[in-house]
Amino acid sequence: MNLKNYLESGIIENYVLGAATPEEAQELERLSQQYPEIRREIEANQFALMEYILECRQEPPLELRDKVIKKLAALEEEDLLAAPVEAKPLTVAYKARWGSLKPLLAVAASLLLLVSMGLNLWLYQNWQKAESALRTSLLGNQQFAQQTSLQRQQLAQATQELSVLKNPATRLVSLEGVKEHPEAQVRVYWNPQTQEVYLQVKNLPEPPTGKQYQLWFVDGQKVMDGGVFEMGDFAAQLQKMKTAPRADAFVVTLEKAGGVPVSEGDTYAVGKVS
Amino acid sequence: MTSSKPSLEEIELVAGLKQKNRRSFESLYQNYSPALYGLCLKVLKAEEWAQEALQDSFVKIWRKIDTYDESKGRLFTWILNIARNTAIDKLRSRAYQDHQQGQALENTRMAATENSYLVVEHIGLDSLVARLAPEHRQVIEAIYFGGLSHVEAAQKLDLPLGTLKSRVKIALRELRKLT
Repeated sequence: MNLKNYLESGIIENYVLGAATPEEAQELERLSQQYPEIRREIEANQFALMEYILECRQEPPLELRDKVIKKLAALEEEDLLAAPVEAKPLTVAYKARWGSLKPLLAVAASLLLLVSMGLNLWLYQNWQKAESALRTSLLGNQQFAQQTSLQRQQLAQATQELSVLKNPATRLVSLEGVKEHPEAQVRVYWNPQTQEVYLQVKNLPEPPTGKQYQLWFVDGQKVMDGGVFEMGDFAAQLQKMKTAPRADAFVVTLEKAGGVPVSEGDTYAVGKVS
Repeated sequence: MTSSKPSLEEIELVAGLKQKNRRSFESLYQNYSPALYGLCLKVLKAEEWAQEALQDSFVKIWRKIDTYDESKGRLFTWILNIARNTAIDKLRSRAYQDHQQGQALENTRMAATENSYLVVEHIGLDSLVARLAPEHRQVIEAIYFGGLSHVEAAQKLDLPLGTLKSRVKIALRELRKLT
């Protein structure tokens, strides 16, 4: 086979543009395993095309994300139902301890609330910085492989934050650390109209095994479960929590992994809704 | 300039996706949905249709993730292909064709020059899209985003088949020079 002729035949360009026949594609894939020059040519063309595609990228509407995730969750359920099921042990019922409500409320009542006016600007600047790194990240330029993982996370985070924040109805509640944990800091974005709650960890110590942080929202005298959230890699991202129809304050406590219906653990951070 | 080696993040992501891990799919959506949505928009030129195509694409990715072979190429290439195929299937569907006819009655001519004006306005003069010569851009748009065969593309652009085939090669060569 004449390699030079093959490389100049146009078949690679057609393949990359999706215009090669299945037979041509199959042959090309086989040859690319054999000849690194062919593989390189394919990748170079794909890279260029991807840059072109990336230029036209556009954020889909925010609602679509949940739709897609729900759809995939439904598919997973279908898969599970279709598969043979083993008997699962019953989950242990949690004990109700209403006495532990009081400390939460006492702390909630006495905290300051921060609202940053510069938040939009900061996020936008972060977004711009991370944006240029995203392309190389997606296209796999090895030179940038180290840096871009963080930047890609930042971009994903910033883009998500921007759309949540762009919504004028979204309220930012900054949860500050309590006396025992002064460094703790968590941000909650709450949209009273849609009742959506998003959480972002700014500073929390990694929980020990078997424990997990849980969000609560305080509505008058009631303390409601807002769900547990992830730490580790996901800590810096925006995490969607349970919906809150009304909230006067938000609280983060450390509970057993999986969460509890009524708080038993230490309070870490509190923020009042202004 | 190009690299065929996936980063550690991609390797972890692929592993998570193959395990049908929800967080991995959320991360996939987070990072890749804008590119896929943009692609679907270019193919279908209408938000509602593009949104449907995007959803369908993620469902397909979920269903077919086991067939993704890391040795054959990058994850991004693979999911782009899925999105493109999904969008073009929709483009060719009866429902869309009917929608198109309805649109055509309202629009004036769809000249290539008109398209390029809109593109430059929207994306910017120093973009790849704007810097690529119109005759090269048209070829890429017709074949990649339009899903046309060589024969169909030659017909649409009113070119001899031979000219079209060589333009495909040149277009990609030019695009590579610009990136």
